Amino acid sequence: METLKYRLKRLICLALFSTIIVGNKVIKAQEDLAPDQNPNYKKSLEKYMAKKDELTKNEGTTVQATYKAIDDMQIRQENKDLRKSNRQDRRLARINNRGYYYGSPYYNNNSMYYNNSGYPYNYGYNNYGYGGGFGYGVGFGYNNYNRYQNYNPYNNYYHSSYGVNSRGYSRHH
Amino acid sequence: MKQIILSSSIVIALMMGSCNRKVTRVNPEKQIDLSGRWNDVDSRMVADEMTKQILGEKWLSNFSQANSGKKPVVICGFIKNKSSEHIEAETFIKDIERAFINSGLVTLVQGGDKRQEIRGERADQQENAAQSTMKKFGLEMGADFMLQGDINSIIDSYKRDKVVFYKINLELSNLQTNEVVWLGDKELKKTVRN
Repeated sequence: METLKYRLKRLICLALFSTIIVGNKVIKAQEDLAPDQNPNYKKSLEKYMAKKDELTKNEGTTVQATYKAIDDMQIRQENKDLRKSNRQDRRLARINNRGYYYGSPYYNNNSMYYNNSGYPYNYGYNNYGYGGGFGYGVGFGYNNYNRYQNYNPYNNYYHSSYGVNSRGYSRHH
Repeated sequence: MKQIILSSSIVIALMMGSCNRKVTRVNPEKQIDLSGRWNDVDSRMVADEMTKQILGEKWLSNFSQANSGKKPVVICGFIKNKSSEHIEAETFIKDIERAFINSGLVTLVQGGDKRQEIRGERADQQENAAQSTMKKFGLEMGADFMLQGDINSIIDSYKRDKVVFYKINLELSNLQTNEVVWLGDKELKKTVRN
């Protein structure tokens, strides 16, 4: 019986104690608030304290948020410049990759029809007649044809202006 | 001989330079239409019309009566451009906001990026400003209404002729109740011959 009374007293004491603590905290929090201040202001405070440097770094500067306006003359000039630049690039590429036929777009190392590095298969007369498909490991790797081409001047006669010529003779000859 | 060549080349260069470009300051109010696209004249017409409408409608007096003479607080939301052109709505929205402040009938609060920057500065003050000058969090003015809108355009063209129709809608909604208290619109129609 005494144990029960003791337990009840202890429970009441605990409840009173916790009520006082919580009450004090609430009163303290209310004391901290300015009149009409949002009671959740601390959430916002924490959020903005974390990114205040980021948000204030542009103060006193001009943030450029520009856009490109439509200007017919400017567009025309840009297109002209682009064409000029492309023409220059083409000329340079042609000079750098000069093959058997000077100036032929199909007869240089970067041509997609011959021996280029990005093209997995060799089309055309590379596979025909000269054992290119066997002797030089055509089909895989790259520059297979280039080696073959260098060894065999006869290639000159089998050149097609389109590059792909499975029969092995050119449209020109 | 060299001097003659030099001076003549300078004169030619100056003449060519002056012939290429000519810049003249004009009155910003002057109507100049070149391409037929959206321009400053359209923006000004929209601003004038919208300002007249928004400050002359009943929503203002209704709010004041219901809130014992309090001025409504307005925040500007976004304007959606659904037209085929680049249109900067800020040019006419700022005119409307200026009219709000100058009329003294409406209180305007900051929104968007600018509000973020203000809060960032306030956060910075918590650590760096003197306590007497430090501004507190949780005391911002809450808006009563939000201004939103959209821009639409319809283009009709045949051969060298083109008709462009713009419709600009602005609306004001009550933030508490979602009630739309004001709807304003401005229509513009232009014909362009190329």
